[in-house]
Amino acid sequence: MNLKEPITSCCIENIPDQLTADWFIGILSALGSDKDFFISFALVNKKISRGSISIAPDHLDAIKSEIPSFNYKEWSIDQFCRLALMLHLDKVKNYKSINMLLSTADTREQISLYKSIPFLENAQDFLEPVINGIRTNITDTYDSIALNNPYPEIFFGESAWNQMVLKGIFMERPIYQIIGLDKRKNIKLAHILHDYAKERWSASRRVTPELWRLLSGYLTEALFEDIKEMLEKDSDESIAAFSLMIMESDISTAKEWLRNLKLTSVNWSWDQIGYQFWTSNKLTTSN
Amino acid sequence: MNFIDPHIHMTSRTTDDYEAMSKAGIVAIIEPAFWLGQPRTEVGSFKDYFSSIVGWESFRASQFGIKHYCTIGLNSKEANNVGLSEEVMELLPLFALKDNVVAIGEIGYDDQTAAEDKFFRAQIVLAKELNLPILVHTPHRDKKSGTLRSMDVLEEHGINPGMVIIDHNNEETVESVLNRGYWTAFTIYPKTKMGSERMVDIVKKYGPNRIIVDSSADWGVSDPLSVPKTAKLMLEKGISPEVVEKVCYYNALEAYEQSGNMKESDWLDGVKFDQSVLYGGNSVLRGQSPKTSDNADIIEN
Repeated sequence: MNLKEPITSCCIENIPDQLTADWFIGILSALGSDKDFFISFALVNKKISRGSISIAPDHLDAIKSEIPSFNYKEWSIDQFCRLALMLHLDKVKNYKSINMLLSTADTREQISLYKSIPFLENAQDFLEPVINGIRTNITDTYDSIALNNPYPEIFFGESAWNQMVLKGIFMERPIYQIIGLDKRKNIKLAHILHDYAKERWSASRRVTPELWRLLSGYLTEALFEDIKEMLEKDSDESIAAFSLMIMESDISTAKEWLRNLKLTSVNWSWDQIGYQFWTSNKLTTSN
Repeated sequence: MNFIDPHIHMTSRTTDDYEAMSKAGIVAIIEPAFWLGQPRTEVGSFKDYFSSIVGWESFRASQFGIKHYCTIGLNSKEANNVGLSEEVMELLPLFALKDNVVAIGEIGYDDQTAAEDKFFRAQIVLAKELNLPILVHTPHRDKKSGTLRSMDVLEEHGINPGMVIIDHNNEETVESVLNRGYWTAFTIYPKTKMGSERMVDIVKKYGPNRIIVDSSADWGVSDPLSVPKTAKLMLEKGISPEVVEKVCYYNALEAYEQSGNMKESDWLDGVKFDQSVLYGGNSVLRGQSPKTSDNADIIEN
């Protein structure tokens, strides 16, 4: 994987003044000790802008050939510079340095680290710290791992994946932004979320319509009977979501039930449902 | 009126406090690294404590719409454990450059021992290297000589007094600290430090320049609303709103802004966390004040 060059060039092209660019090139070539790395990583915060990056097409192609989901709009210049620093570490000992930095990082640093780990040649070595990162209660840290990050889909085992998705739903995160959400669906997760929905309903709380996306494909007659009375019909997103779940199933009684409801449903994709729900913040305002 | 409490130890406080502070108009706070009421015995305890004040506590505060900063340092009480202190000194550069760190502190003297002096000096050097302001804790006992000695040592190191906040002043120390050009902070803390009525008299006597009011609320019997309460008393006693705003907001901002990490724009449009910028400006759970029921006996679902 050769990402070091395009990413480093991209950083330098995004630093507007020559003095700062020279400083950055200097620290990249002088990463001797852990301490150099920690201090350089911290100083990026003070010296480099947090503005959005622009990226030349050939660099973009080079990065996308390794990380197909890469979207430069999710990166700021300082985060990209921190990524470049991480790529300049010797990969034989980068685990120890990055792990130490994770354990002393502020939130913005944690975000940069978790977003950058998938770009490392030995990304797999970081499985345990990344799974630990999911245990955070800081929303932004959680988001940096779970949302728009290719790492979990590639490296997480089923139980870590399920914990991440369940936690995302629990924390009211926009889970349609999880990469591989449909591909990594599984029956165990479907059952966990079925239980979760019932627990919410017992407490007179709503569930996110995004939840039904993960039951799609695992709906059984018994499961449908268990939830049908509680399916929420008060918002476009909820109706669109359970309708889609039923249409994607082969349960004829469920389809019949849906027809009899005579609801006017909008034809949204799962991503559209997630997006609509997230932007209107329905869960928060109704709870 | 908006307030800054530039000295408060939130890791010891509850969400009830955060709610009350937000309601009283506190928009930004600074949490100086201090001791926890009992001495730590392992360097890992310091590491996790520093981590929590640069990360978790800021997140907690943001949920109540309050912008949280901190200072990083080895406090004078624990500096007396020399072996441990050497290890803590190794940690400080790792934390001192973090996003929400606005000073090295609180450092200075407690019993004025040789060990305290050694680590006070070492941290002055660090602050100078990193170009950060310094927050000085003045001792409870033998305060006056401890305060004068702190200023002597700072000046010996060529530190500009404008970069230093001397805290926990009283009627005995105020004049020399003001005269030597330092930011002069007062802690409104029941019984051991200043009462709010004495604070009113000090502002009446010395005016608002370079005077800062804080609570230092921590794990002891203390009041996280000291700053807004003192402001209210000052107004009642006829001090002008401009003066009150200076000592309860603008002076702290001006002193700590010098770190490069604290700006009024951090909170003026509501406190946000980074990811909200990246993911379309949504603000679920961010900066919302938790709803409160009319019936105090009902816990909301």
